[in-house]
Amino acid sequence: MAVAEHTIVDQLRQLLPAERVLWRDYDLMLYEYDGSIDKHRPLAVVFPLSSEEVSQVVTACNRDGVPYTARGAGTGLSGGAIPARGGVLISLARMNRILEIDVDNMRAIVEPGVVNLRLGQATAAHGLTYVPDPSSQKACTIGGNVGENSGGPHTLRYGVTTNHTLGLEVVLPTGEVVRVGGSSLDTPGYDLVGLLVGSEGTLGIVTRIWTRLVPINETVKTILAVFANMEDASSAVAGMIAHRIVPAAIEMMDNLTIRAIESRSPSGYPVEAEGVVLIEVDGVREEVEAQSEAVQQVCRDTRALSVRLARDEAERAALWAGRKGAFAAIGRLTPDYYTVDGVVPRTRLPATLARIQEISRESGFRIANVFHAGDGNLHPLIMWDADEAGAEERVIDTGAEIMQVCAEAGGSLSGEHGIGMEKKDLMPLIFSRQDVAQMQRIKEAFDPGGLCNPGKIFPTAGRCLELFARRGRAVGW
Amino acid sequence: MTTSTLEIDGVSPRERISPRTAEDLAAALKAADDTGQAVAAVGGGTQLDLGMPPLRLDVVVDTTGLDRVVEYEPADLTVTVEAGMRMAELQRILGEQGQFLALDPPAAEGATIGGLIATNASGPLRFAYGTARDLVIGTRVANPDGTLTRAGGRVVKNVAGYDLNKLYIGSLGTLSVIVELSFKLAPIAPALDSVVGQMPDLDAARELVNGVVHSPLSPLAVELLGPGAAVAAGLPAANTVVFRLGGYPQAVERQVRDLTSLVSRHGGQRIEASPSAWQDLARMRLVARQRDVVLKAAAPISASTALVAAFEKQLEGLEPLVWSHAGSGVAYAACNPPEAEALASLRRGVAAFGENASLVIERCPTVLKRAIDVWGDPGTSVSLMRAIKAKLDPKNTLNPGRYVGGI
Repeated sequence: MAVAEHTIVDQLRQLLPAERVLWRDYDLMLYEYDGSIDKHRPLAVVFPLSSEEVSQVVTACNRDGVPYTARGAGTGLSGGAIPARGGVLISLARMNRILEIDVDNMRAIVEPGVVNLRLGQATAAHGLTYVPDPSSQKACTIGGNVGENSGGPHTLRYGVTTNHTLGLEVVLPTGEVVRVGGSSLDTPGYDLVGLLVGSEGTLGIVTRIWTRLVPINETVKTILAVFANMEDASSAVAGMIAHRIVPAAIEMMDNLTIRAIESRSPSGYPVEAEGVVLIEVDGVREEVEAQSEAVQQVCRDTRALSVRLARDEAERAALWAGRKGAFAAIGRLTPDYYTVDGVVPRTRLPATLARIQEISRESGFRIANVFHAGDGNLHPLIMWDADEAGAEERVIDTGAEIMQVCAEAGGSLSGEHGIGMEKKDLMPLIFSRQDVAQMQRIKEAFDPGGLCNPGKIFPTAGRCLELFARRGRAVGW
Repeated sequence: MTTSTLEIDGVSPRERISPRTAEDLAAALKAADDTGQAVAAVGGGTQLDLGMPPLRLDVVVDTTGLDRVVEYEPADLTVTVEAGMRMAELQRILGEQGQFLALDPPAAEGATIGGLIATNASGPLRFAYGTARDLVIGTRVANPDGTLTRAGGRVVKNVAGYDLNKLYIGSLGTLSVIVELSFKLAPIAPALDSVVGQMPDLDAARELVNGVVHSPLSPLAVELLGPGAAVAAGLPAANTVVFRLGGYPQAVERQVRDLTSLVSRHGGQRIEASPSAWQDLARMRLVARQRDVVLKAAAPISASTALVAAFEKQLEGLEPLVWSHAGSGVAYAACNPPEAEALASLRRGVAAFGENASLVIERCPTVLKRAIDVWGDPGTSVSLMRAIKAKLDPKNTLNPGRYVGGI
């Protein structure tokens, strides 16, 4: 291995200028982690500027049998950008040009390193916007969003990244560069764009992205409803769906989260509230008026203590800034926090939240809840201290237990953060051996050598059983 | 339908089986795969013309015996059904709860939900709600090795594992046979209306459509009809733009008002259509699909009217009916059979509109399929498609030869 390590760094330094290859241990430390718990140090980090350079790096890795992993801004929460088996980390952060904004056809063509928020800002002058809005949108990249199929609050009505991605240029694990999809819809053949989005960088490296743009809404209204408890807040969410209302966003926060937000930067949330629901409705003026009335009525009918319509853009922006800064705010209350991402059918929200409270009591960890209630996408934040002996294992087990609750409710292990390293050993909770084998066949079709972002998504033999055995649970796999 | 009448491009199967359960269906696939027999899965049999003639065909697996609702919880706005359920039956069940599956392809009586998804069929509502890829949240498929596998799930937001749902949609049963589908649903709008605008020419239609799709107005559908298609839908012979509106009554009224004035501002005239105008259009599309030849073109959105113009011009004399989902850059033509060379030339013309613009011959006489590939050139990614096919269906059991690139 020492020989291969030496060779690959030398080769990379021949391929790219010195300032675009990091290989000293000191420089590599920054790149051993992302937003998740796991860590692993790469052999080298490269900063290609074109698909040709990415292809050359991949080809060099293939020659020496060295694994490689693509990385955007490193904000991912499941370890997608961690080089789990070492090797070369391919940072796409410098491929950050918006190549084209095609106003007539409502499309943008971007490189993967473009920061999410920047795209929407660049298209606003044309009356258009890019919809997926993960909370990390000030930092995360479109390429990373494509890798993880990222969501955000407004995906309830408008869909997640896959619904807004129309074409990709991809460097395949063979080093070949191919294009799939593009500005036109319904390309004949298998929907490889759909398959690649959310494949967590395990099937190839995306070097160019065709995205959908949509007209900016005429009117937007944001409503804040305060509840005496999370059960009532949940029934408000169920009530909206039952009344055939699908707002643009329905977000829910518990008291712990509200206090954290308000102590960090006051955003207009009442600190005594046990549960708040933030609802956004948008569209043509008359639709928004009527829907806003209907939403407020549902909240009052489900025992809201107060229902408030944001008076102006400033108040609206403050509420959203609070919501999007919620994770960071929790970070101020605790040395560390572990972000869990799970999904349940909307009708199972109240029962699931109650179970999470029990898990919090049993485990001794405080758990804050801030999440996309409209689509049943939970984000329990487990507060812990990494310096405490044995805490890491316990916090991971607690996360796994919440995942089990979601799975038993008919839900999923991840709504928007991905499986990555974090949850690969939990896959048996929702997929059978055959289900995973089918996915593995796809991996082999794209990456027979297995060097493209290895150690992600697929369960390690034995490891998952060990995890559940520790909690005294059986998993039929 | 019996074995004697069911044939695909003139090829008749030796046997037809009608399993009642997913397990039986999977076992039948394995039996065929083990003995080297080729299988075509068939639902209502309403879209058998799509694709190239099969290289081999021994067994037809009829999915209509799998027609149960697996789970429907209206408050979750999701449903899980077996693939052989009739589309019309599914919409009836959902409609009782004020909900629907926002997919409105031309679906003949008897079309199954599995068949519509396997052919990635879509209709006008795609402008607002997207296509199957935006609505399918979970699949269960039977594989040639006899396994039954799931992808996705029953929740509306889910990124666990590869999104194989996308792969199965539109794969024409060449990778596996869909036995169960989960969908996200939409509430039926409290009010619905249509605006039918008769335009002086296609340029005016283009300006109108461009203006509306870039505006904050939010029609559910933006349709453009050539004169022939307009007549077939019971409207005057003119290039006609039709908007479908849905939402709260006051929002629908306002949009009807705005669109009416936009139509006249672009030199057109709103015509008082009958209350059934929207259904008449759907019927027109369905009837048109019975013509000898049906073509589908896709290009960047702003080329929608140019696609309609190209169809009208190149198919002149073949009694073409031409319509477009103009907000999506997708256009269709139904006509009498042209020469293969005319189709090839039309395809070259469409390709010029964009790097992945395409022309697919969705229906034509078998003899024409010997002269031209109905799918067109699949481009550089065909090697990946073949690699996927080789992994999921290694013995080439499922619909051999009917798909893109000879798959």
